[in-house]
Amino acid sequence: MSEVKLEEVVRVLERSGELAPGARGEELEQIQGGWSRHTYIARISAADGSESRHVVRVRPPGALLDTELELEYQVYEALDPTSVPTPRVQAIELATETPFGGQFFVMEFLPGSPSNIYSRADQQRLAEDWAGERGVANDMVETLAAIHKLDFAAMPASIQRLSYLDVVAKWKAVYDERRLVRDPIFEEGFDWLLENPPEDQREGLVHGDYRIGNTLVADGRLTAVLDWELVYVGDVRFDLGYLVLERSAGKHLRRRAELMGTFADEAWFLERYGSLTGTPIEAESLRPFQLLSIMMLVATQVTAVWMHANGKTDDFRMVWARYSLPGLRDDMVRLMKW
Amino acid sequence: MWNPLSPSEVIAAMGSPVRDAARGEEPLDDWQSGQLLSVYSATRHLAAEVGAVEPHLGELTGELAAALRSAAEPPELVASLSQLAEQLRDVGDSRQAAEIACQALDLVRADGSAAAEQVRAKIHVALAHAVELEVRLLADAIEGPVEP
Repeated sequence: MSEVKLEEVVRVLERSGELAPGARGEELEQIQGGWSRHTYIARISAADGSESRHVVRVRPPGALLDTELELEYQVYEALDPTSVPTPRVQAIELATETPFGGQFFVMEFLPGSPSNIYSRADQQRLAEDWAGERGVANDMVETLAAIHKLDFAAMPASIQRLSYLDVVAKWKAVYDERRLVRDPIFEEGFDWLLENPPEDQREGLVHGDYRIGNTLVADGRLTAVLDWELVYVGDVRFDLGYLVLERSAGKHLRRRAELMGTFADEAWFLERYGSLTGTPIEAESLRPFQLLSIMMLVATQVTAVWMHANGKTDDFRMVWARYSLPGLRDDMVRLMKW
Repeated sequence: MWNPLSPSEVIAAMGSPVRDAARGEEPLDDWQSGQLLSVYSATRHLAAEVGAVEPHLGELTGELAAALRSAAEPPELVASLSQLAEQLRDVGDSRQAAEIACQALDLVRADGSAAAEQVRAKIHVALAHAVELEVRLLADAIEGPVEP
């Protein structure tokens, strides 16, 4: 089966002109991670004997989130000429009947590895970066400021433009449709968001899942920001609220890392972000966005369980997702000051 | 505590990845290893859930029932909440308790009076206690007790 998949990757890369005819697939490996996209690394030999590696992003039949692969591809294309580090996309296959079981696109393989926020070793490595050169910390804040300052009019027109209330409604609809049981904490959480909207709006391009685990780091520097499938135009403080969650610093049940997102001091990050963007950030103003980003996580985790229960996937991680809910409830109760 | 899927449904879902790994003729790849590690992690959570968390269901229903019975007015709300408090007596599953808590919160939100808000705050306290208890018991089992 791997051979058929490899041949398909070669075919689309030759079709897009990325590879000259005569290339041969050598190896394909599916890597861990990716809840609504499956990811593979393909090694290919060109006709001239040179070798290249490529990343294949697949939208599987039972994708966790109903997000468009083509839009994600277009976002990567639009980001290519900007200062935001991203891999260059090389080819896309929009047919749904493929050896991968769904649509996929191919992008260049960049050096670096994603950090696992739950790994003590990765937490230690990032803490050392913070105590020393701060290459990762500086890159993370400068890149986020750059994303938020991008001219979103130059981005693909099909990117959704969502107000704070639109985002609340979006995740509430997912929860309502996909919950297997009613949850009093989650339902009060959605109500709290409606009762406590932000006082103003700061519009820009929102990554939607900005955390150290969605970046690549090599030699202490950020080489890429990945996973743009949740991108939208809206209040940029969503990304900040998400980043300051204890969950983004590896909390499953109890807080584990002292540093925000495992890589920087929170006050330092917010101050630096404020000076880079020219818009100071009060930590308290992030509270609605912290809760809103938790509701996004709740909606996705509830969806994961629903998908397995309804035979849409046999990925066991979707069942395990139920165990991420107690820690999220714990964060919610604290944020709502119960 | 009131997570989707019952413990028996979680156990049933573990079978497929374990069988696939046992039958596979090739060495496990990264993806398959990840599946088995998720099963392993789920067994640890499940053991704590069944052995340590679920025995506290009576505490949750008792505290919730007390919160619902604390309603002083208006009479229709008091009657409805008392009825829900009675239903909590027979609950044998935390998911049923959560459903009743949601129904009670629907009622107090719809009422909107100061008296209803007081009941809502008391429901919050009971729920927050259950959340704190579940996280502490799971964390003690999975991550180890907090060092003094």
